[in-house]
Amino acid sequence: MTLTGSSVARLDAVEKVTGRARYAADHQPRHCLVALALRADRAPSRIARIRTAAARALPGVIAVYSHENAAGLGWVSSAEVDALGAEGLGRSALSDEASALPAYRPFTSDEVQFAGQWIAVVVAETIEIAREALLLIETDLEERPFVPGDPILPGPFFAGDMQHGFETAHPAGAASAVVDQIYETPMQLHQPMEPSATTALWAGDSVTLWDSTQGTRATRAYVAASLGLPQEKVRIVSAYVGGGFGAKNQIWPHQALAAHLARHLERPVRVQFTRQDMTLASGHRSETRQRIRLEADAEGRLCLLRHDSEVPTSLRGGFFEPCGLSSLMLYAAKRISVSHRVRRLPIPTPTPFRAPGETPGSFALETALDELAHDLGIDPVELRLRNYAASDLYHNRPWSSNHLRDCYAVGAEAIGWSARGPVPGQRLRNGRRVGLGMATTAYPAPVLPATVRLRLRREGRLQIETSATDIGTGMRTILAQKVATELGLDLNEVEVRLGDSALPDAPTAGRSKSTASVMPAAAAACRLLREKLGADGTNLSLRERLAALGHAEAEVEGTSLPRGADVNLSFYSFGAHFVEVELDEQIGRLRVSRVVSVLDCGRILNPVLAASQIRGGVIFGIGMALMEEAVRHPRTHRLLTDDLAGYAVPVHADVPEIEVRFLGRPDAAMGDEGARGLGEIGLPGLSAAIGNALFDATGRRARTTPFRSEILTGR
Amino acid sequence: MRAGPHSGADAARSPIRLDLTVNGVPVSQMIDPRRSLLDFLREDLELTGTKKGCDHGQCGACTVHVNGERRLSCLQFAAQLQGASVTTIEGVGSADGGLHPLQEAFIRHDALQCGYCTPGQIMSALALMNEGCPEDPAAIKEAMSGNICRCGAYNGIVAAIREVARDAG
Repeated sequence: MTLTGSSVARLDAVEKVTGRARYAADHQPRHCLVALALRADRAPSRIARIRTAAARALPGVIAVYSHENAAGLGWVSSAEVDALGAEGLGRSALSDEASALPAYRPFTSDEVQFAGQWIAVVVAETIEIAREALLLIETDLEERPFVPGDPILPGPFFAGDMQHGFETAHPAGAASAVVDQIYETPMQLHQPMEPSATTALWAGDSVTLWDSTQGTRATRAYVAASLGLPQEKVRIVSAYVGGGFGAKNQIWPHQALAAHLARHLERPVRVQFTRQDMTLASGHRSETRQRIRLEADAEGRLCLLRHDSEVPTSLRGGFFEPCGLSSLMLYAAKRISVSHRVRRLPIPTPTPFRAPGETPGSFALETALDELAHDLGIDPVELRLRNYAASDLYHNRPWSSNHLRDCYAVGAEAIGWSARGPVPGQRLRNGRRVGLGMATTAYPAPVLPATVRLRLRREGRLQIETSATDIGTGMRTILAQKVATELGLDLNEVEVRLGDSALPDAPTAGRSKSTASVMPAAAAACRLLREKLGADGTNLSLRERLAALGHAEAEVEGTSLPRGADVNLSFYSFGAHFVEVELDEQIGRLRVSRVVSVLDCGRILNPVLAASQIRGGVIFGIGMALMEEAVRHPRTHRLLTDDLAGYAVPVHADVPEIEVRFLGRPDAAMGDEGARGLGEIGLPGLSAAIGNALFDATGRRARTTPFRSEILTGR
Repeated sequence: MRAGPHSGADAARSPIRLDLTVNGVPVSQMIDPRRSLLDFLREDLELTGTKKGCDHGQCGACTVHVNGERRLSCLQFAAQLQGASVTTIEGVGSADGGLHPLQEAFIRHDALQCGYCTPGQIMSALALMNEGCPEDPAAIKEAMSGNICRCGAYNGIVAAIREVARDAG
């Protein structure tokens, strides 16, 4: 029986369509208190005064904490906690003076490093009382001058050199065409539909947190360090997570704060983020300013691919958008050069956001390639084929598997690419301008060690356990498919328990690595279970063997290994997006009318669920091109677009039928079944493909997202 | 960031009695008059299938039916609903726990990923069917555009609605 590779329905779908799936804020222990945040509205500044007496006096208010009294919670700043949390990521790449200072931690000083920083937390019996108490707190924030420092030139980040130039043997002749342009993308917000929440319940000296996180083990490490407890005293439960996209990938202070408050107040506490909190305290993708210079010979072969990026980070954080990552490896050019300059600003610390680096980077690079193709009179697909990198020239090693050229061919055929002519602005449909555009996408395929436990009992379903999360990805389903297939069972004979730090170790669900990390561990566990029961070579079922051996249950743990250091291959997934747009030029309304995305992600374990993941990425790309833009006040640095009205994301009416095709060719070097991850790859390149289609429709070039009205209307 | 005026605040927070019907069951409860229908359902009745996505009427995750019409429960004071009949996702499907055809269609079309917006999408879609579901997919999308799905299950949601509307029609 082969279940893996087939489109079985999402195993947790019944829980989700009935509302029975319980997310972090749905766990409501008896006598649970509610904690809400008060945030600074300007930075840099100093808390000159904070008056909380009136709030404390309100009946039903249990406590108010600020920097003046939070130390009483055992709430202190520590280098260990900094390193485990969202504020620590990237500090070693920056290694400037600020990276050596304590990272931002709320309530530890009167210093306000960014607008949106927590300055007080109210704990009350009900939501209404907590809200009223927030209004009763008086604060006086004294603005401080902001003195910009010199740009930082970061070292290696996300396994790539941030300052790097190298020569290759690409056979390009003398340069005959040059594209040299600036591309800009704005600050973007993840906006998962579930606002983060953490509900903390102590029992003796142990605490359970119902939390919304992409990584239960990483959250446990952070919270335990913050509490000064061994990790086994802390349990993180995230059985259902309402989307993440990176916002719940790193660990933020509120996750530990819930545990501290509950310990001190001796009652369960739920720290509940509002939508506004989500925009301020769970990261964002920063704005980018990128310069691309392409030089090519008359046949379109690249003599130079140069990608220089300017991006911000916070005053003390480390994460920055590594825009040049895909420029290092995706195309062949005689010379390839990438640089990054990072400025520190009084803003919240940015964090990974679906395909960090690749997403804004590919907007710039894939738009520039389209410009070059037009200047040379070469078809954009053909231009990419002429600069196809047959191996990873940056790392100087072969690809594990790369069928990018087939993605181009399949996508071009499916969208009817041959109808596109060399001259833009030629097609009209119902009075609207129509255009076709395309772009390449690529994303790394990393692997980390993971462990899966299987437990077979005389009665009941076979239990499959791992701490990995299913944030909407389908991990629950493909894990059940995998184990059922390996052991010859039906899906209804297995059950998956995940999203709990008490279960065996697995990596955080991010960076498109979970499938390739967890599935081999499941396969190993299945092998161990059959060995343990001596099931191979017999006609007996696993349960009959269990009975024959006289055991009540059999339990095994299978662990996957990290990729060997001796594997001299580059592991990436590839794809090509083809997009058709319709533009009503009179009112500047741009609609994406068709999308065909063709992906080379190795073997696909569940085609329907995988296609849903890709569609999600594509829709993020539509949002990026058409509407998503977060805006800060120029002086106070306060986020002005801190709700879903000010920050628009795609709705039903914005989204066409999205056709997803997988080549489905297993990548033998990945091991196990040859599957590579696909959580991010739907997004890179997509906004460029829309912009390139807009150019085909109008002859006007969008070099800034979201596309400006003057580009759309031509006025 | 500063103290607001609070004259009459005591009266504004004195509990009041609310009588209404939720999923066919009569409910009588003392509530904070400031409590939203959403918080009443979630905090008082522990009906947590209705989700809080924004609390500002901008995302649709909290959609329920009030007297048969779709409403954003975060924008509704519970105290305004004396005598009303409210249906939440917990009240959808047959009494014996069977799924509504639309719920089954959502599963078939993989019309969900993380699942957080799903109850609101289903409540909106059910109301749309009662309102008279258009055949044109563009009109369905327009009518469903108050329900945001950040994971991007829109194609599946529209396919599920069309299928059930067609079967019903």
